[in-house]
Amino acid sequence: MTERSALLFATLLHLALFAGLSLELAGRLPKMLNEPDITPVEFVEIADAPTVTEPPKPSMEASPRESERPAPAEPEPEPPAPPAKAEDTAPQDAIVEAPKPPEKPKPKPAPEKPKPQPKLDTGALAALIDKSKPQAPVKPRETSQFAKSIEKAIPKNAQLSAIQAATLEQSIRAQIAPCWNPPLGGEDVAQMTAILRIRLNRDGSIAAPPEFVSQTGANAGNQAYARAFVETAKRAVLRCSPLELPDNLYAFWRQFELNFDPRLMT
Amino acid sequence: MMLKAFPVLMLGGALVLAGCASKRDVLPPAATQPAPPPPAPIDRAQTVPPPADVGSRALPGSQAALVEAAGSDTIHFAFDRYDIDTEARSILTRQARWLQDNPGVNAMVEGHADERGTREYNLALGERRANAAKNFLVAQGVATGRLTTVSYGKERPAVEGSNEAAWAQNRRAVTVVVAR
Amino acid sequence: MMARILALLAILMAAPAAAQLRVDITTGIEQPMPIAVPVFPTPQNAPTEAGTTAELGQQVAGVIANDLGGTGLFRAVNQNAFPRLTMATVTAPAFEPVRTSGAQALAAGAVTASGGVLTISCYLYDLFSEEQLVRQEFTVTPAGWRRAAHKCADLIYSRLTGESGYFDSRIIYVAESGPATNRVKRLAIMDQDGANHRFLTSGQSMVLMPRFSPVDETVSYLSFAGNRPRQMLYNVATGQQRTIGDFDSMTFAGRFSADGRKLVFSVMRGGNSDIYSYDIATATPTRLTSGNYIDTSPSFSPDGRQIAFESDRGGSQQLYVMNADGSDARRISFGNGTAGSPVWSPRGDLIAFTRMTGPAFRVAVIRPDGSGERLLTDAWQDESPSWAPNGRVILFTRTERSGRAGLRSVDLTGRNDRRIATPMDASDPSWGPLLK
Repeated sequence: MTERSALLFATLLHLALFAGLSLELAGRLPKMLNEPDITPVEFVEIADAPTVTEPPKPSMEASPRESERPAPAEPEPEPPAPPAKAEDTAPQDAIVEAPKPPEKPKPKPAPEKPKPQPKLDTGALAALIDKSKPQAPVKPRETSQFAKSIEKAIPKNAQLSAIQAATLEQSIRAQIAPCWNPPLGGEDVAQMTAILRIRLNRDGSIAAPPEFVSQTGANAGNQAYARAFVETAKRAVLRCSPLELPDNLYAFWRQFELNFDPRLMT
Repeated sequence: MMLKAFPVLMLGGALVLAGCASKRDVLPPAATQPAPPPPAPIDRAQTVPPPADVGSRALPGSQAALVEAAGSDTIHFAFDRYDIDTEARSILTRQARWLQDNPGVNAMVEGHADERGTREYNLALGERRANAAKNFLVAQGVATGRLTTVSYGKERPAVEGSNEAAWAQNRRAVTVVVAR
Repeated sequence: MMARILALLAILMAAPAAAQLRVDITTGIEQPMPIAVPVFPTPQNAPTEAGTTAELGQQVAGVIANDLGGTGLFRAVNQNAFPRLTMATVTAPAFEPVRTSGAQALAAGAVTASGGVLTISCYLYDLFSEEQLVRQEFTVTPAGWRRAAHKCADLIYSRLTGESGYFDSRIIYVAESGPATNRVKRLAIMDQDGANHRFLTSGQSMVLMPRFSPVDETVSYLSFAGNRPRQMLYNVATGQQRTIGDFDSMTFAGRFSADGRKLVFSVMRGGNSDIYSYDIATATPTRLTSGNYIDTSPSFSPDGRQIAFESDRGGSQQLYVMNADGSDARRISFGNGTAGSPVWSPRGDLIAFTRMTGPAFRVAVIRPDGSGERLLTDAWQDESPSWAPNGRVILFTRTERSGRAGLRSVDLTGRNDRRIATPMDASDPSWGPLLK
């Protein structure tokens, strides 16, 4: 293939993928977020020498096996320029096989590793990641140098798959929620919500104090309650840091938002 | 010698008899306690005659006299009601007559309620009952100036208890004689 | 060239960008906040009329821990679980050793005596953000040390919960003794935590329903002296009292307006009772309701514009709200059974009352428009609610089937239904204002 036709082919595939993803994600993502457990996904075979056909779509299920090189791109919303760049990266990661675009929306992971505990034990996951235990037809974890080159090469706007996002969210939720003591108050406080922006270091520790983004339910008359509410949220994050999150997804949890919403708690 | 022996014999006989009596009266000791001391012997020569009957008559113009004449100083009410029923009417009628026969006293009618109501409401209900009784007495001819009312709400139950029987007794109006 | 164009096209036609991750935290753990309240150090242990400053340092911490714990929103951690503070570390504590005790906040301060006056400092630290949230100093005569402790506790409580405080306040109530058929009732007053208790009347004549003025040392209560039940105005500080108005018949159920200038009460005439308001300064009563009903138990809204009351004008005892001039009375209670003794919250958002279904009485709250009725307690006979000055906690009387009566308080959320200790049986509590 000439470079040109390869580019064309890749472009078309990307378009198809993005289209498919957009539709799929829109339909599926909310549903996934509400589910407490990750739905088992179908297995997809990964060839020995997989080719990279799109920007990294790391799968949480695969991470313990180091089968994928996650895209440590910052999860900033930008039109991605994936195709060109992704092409350049060495096919280190068994991400997706070219001939299987329709399945992209579903994470194509290696056989799902059974969760060590009913709650997603990211500690175990992290431990596994760190131990660099490759399994099956995958290359071992990257060297730090390679990671840097990957990081540079991977476009800023690589996306998390739906499953990956959901798993990450669940992990964060599972670690923060037990540390949150919402204010025990009357009607004012029961209807409030607050959003904080969290910045974390790679080891999961707090990189900056939790930052207040926005709040609902506050008005001129309940400012004191509003402040108390936000403080319980900040305290929850500080109490339970450092968080344990998969290193290979750091790009996606380096900065994120937490929406504290007690309204479903009776 | 016979003469001298007589009191001794009498005494001895009494003692013997007493002894017999004692033996009969001594209770078997309880398992873990020492036997109670035997009761003192009864000296039949020193019995006390039964108490004399004390006739009593209520002093005129007293509460007891009112009760005697009217049958009761208290009328009762249904739950949350203050209307005078038939029995209450006859009692009050007799009370009225007695009051007219005893112009030297006045009366205070107390109204009460059972515990099933807030304190404030029961004060008002008690007052309604007292008032109803008073109005009846006035209608029977008692001068209104001789009668006052007070409500104790649920503060002065006649009977302790949280059951229908107690509550029924506490829903009442009591006519209390007071000096002029 | 073509490659670049294609690349550009790819970029432009890319899928919608991935949004930043946002995680919903919709559950947490509802529990009292663990808080560390160490003994308050003193720079120099000095004697005072109220004990040495070292002793006071322990007692102040105890009062604060007790106040906070009593709300059900805090739990004081064991003082042995973290290091004692010194004068230096009170203002610059080491946070980690306190964190390991499980506490999330640190309430600290010191007691200093000088020139016959006590200075009690009061600090609050968030153990996670490590910020100093409160910094205040109180000066009192040694005899008033408890008030300083309550004020410090109030600052801590309000800073962490957003509520206004209520610890530096008093409760007046009726102390009861004797058999039910011949109960002795006396007025008594105490700090809200039970300290400084004293009796105000001898019990010779029956007293009922004392109510604190929200602004000063006046109390209004019902006296049965001479078998003439009359609503009185009584100054707790001077002991002076007078009847409200000059009525020939029973006056009762008086409550103050929020500005303390008026009283609203009922007058019984014949078989019916009407609601009157009374201007205290001019001693002028004004009739507000009429009709052959029992209209009683009135209570002003905090803005003084409305009055909640109970009436049987509809055939059974229910709650009504009318304007302060007596106009536009409308029923607001429609639940099962009857409703009485409404008391408007000092925050204006709710009315506490007694909900009666059969023989069972419960304390409940309802919005002034009649919506949102909620039962807060569930026992045999709970009645006579009274609000704490911050509108968050409700005091009430609980009578057991045995006839024993006592004071209890419950949080607005229905939590923390707890006993308030009194020397003997008790009823008819009224929570006084936050002291200045």
